[in-house]
Amino acid sequence: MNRHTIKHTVIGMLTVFFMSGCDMFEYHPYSTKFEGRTNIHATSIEQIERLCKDKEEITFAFITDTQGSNTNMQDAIRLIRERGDIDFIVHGGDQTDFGLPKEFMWCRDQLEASGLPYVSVIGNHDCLGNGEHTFEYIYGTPNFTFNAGYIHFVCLNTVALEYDYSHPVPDFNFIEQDIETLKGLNAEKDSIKRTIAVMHSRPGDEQFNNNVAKVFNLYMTQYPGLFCVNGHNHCDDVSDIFSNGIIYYGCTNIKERAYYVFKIRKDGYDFEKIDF
Amino acid sequence: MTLRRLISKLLPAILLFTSLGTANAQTDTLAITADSAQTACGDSITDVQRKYRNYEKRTNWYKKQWAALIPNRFSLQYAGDIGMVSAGIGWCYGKRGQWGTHVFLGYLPKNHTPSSYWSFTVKQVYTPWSLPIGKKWTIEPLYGTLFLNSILSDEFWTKEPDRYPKGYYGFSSRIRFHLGIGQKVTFLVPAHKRFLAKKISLYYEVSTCDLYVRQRILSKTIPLKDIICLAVGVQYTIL
Repeated sequence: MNRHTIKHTVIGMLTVFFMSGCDMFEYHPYSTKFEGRTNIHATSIEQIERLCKDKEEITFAFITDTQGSNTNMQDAIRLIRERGDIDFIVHGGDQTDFGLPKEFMWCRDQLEASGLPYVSVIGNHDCLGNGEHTFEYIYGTPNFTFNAGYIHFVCLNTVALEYDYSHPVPDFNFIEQDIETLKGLNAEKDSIKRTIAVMHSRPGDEQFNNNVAKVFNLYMTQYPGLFCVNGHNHCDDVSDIFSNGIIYYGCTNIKERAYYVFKIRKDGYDFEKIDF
Repeated sequence: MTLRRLISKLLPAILLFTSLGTANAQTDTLAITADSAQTACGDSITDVQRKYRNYEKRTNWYKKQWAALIPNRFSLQYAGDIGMVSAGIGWCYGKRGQWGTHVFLGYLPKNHTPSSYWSFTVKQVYTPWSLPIGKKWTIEPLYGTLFLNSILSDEFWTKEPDRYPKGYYGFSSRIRFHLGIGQKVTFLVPAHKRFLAKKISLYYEVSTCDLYVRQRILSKTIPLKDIICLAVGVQYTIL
């Protein structure tokens, strides 16, 4: 074969991988370059706070445990978008199965498609490998709070088993500080009527640091008008765990094709499970 | 039959290992004995020479066996799910040189993670076709590869740590299995221009890993391009 043919073959080969795109050069499944939005909580929270500032009725959807059920997630997001009454979405953690950056991106892109602001707590699967760093990069710190009008959201990292006592999970210093801030805010002008605690695993789960479950409850009772939402157990479980009126709304995973909708008013709230 | 052949191959090796020290020591004296014996008796010369020749045969065989372990391929790869840059040594073997085994050490720079990583890879390559183009060029239009990668960091585990209930996650975050295909073009360096490399090859490959495949099977909505990864590399063949 002559020089001409060789040139053609080489050019052909080069075209193949330039066509397939330079973004396909991946260094490692656990070290993927990020495309698209990162540090999401910063902008989402700002958006939620602005959107819900003077709203009487605040509605949010709670989706949890995506874990590779992207098709079901897509359907859920489409339904949420079509409803039109949802103000924002809260994800209950376990966006991923293996803590891979690509999995985070797939789930994020689904949530982005809703066109609504969204926040997420960290799940135990999200911590696998270097997942907790990926979560922090893409969303922000795993413990965070925000105020949607008169509702205070406290979103906590509760997957203690993943951290093996190397980090305070749940972080009582964070909770204590938040309670103090809230008390100060309410003393100034009685603005916060309700608190919603979002967590991935709840007291009693194998992921939770159950040695401090009662202490956790003691701290949480200081929040005004509290109820909790959680994921992790892949089943619906609405219960008053400590028999003190604080309800834990445990939502099933998205694979079961269900999500929760909470409609909050100043004098109460409605809870609805949506099967699709 | 195969067993007998195996024994016949192994036996000299065992003998050689056990008598290596004495055989080495004898080499020098043997030469002197051979010289001085030359004038004495014809029969004993042939006997000594025969023994010496047999000894040489065995050491040559021994050298040849170890020589087969000298790596003859050196690779430098960019991307490909085993590191940003990975350097490797490899062995090419088989009747037509269709098999290749490579080991790589890859470097992963700090990304969104607080630290950089090193990764280790063992790669097996099978090249069914190799087409010569002229005297200087060869094209391997398609080769298949299977590789195993381990990220060298304590954040990742091969076996689940004891804190988890048994079979909690049921996978290893450290070990990844990859499957890929690629194409390679090789330039045979003319003998008078050789410095180190006999052949210089350029290759690229597309691959995917076990976890990506699983997620793609679960969710058809994941675009195929998201689970496929590209790599380019250069390979030097010596010897």
